[in-house]
Amino acid sequence: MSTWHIDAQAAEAYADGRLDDPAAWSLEAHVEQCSDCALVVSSAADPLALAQLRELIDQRLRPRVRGFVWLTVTPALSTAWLAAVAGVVLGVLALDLLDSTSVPLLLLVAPLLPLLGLAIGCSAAVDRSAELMASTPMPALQVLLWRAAAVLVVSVPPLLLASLATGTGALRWLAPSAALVALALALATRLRVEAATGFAAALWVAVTLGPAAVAVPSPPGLRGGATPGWLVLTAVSLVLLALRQDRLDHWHNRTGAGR
Amino acid sequence: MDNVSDDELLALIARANTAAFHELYDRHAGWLLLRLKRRCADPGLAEEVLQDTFVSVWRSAGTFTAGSAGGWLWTLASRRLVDALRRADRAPRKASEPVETAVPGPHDELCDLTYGDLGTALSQLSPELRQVLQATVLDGLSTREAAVVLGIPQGTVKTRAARARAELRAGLA
Repeated sequence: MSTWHIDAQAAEAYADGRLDDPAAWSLEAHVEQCSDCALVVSSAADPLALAQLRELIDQRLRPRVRGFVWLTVTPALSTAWLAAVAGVVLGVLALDLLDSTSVPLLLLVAPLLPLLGLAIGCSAAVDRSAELMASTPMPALQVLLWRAAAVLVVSVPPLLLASLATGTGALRWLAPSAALVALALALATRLRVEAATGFAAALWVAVTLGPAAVAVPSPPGLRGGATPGWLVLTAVSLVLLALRQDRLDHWHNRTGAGR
Repeated sequence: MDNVSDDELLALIARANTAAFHELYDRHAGWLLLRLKRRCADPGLAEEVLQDTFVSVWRSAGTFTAGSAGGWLWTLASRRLVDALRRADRAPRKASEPVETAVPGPHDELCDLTYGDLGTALSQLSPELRQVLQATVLDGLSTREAAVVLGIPQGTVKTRAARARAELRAGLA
């Protein structure tokens, strides 16, 4: 690169702190640009200390946390969240059984529940394991999918029981649930998880709760005919997620580095 | 791995190649550690920061775009240094300490690298002014980050930087 190079003697002097500042600065600026001199200076550092540090770094990177461990540290699995899910499902169930004439409340609430779980489950602000996650050499997509799976595993069965009890077709809320979660995951490649889930929830409110509030008998998002639409949205979102999964690493870094 | 360039190593690390990671470490950890040790009074902290740096390298090698790998590594290291000092700042810390250790010893014969008038002018700056130049110019830190690293208020960083520039200008005239 240039004819100015660092000899072993200068590197030794630098390592021992015997170079004065201007000379050290020249060396430092040069080492950034010249890999040959970087090697010369690196070999002047204490090799024993470097070997020990390398071992420590390897240890920090080695505990490849397996998927199921993420399940156990997901906030969505805390007793508080379980209790909240049970409470909401029971409340909705009671209201639907009392009043079977209007649109089942279950249909309106069910798709929001997994979404909320996802927001809580993946938000660094709530998640005490965010620090651990940030230093895990696991693809961000994998972590996110495990957590989404954890949320679904917890949220879906109670909802399924409730829909059996009220005789509401399960596919009518399962399809939008899947679509909204997939959409939120796809959006998470661009936005923070909180914002992505918020956007998906807003979409749901726009197509269902809004019209429902003005007493339209059957909001567009809830009609049986809407199911294929939701399935298409699910598929498109999943494809988008697969294509943009490398962008998730930014999310990975953002949640981890925010200390 | 010997003939692989740093850029190629980083591309391999982005795909979770541990051999490439170790090779990059062996090439660069030494100078990074020496440079970090010159920046903080506590050698233990410098070693911690080196670990943090390479953990970051493993995680974010994918964000490296073409350019100087050495420069990129130092940027990561200096950010981790600022993080570490911010954390340490919450614990009580003697702000005067790094200033004291930076007092230069007698110049020895190894320093006869020719750097001309600028070198002389730089040498005549007080250690406090040189520290500020080092942090803001050479290490590319912002005023706020330099304040954290040097353990002095931001306002002091600004006034010292201005004074250092003025003295350099006078020294070169």
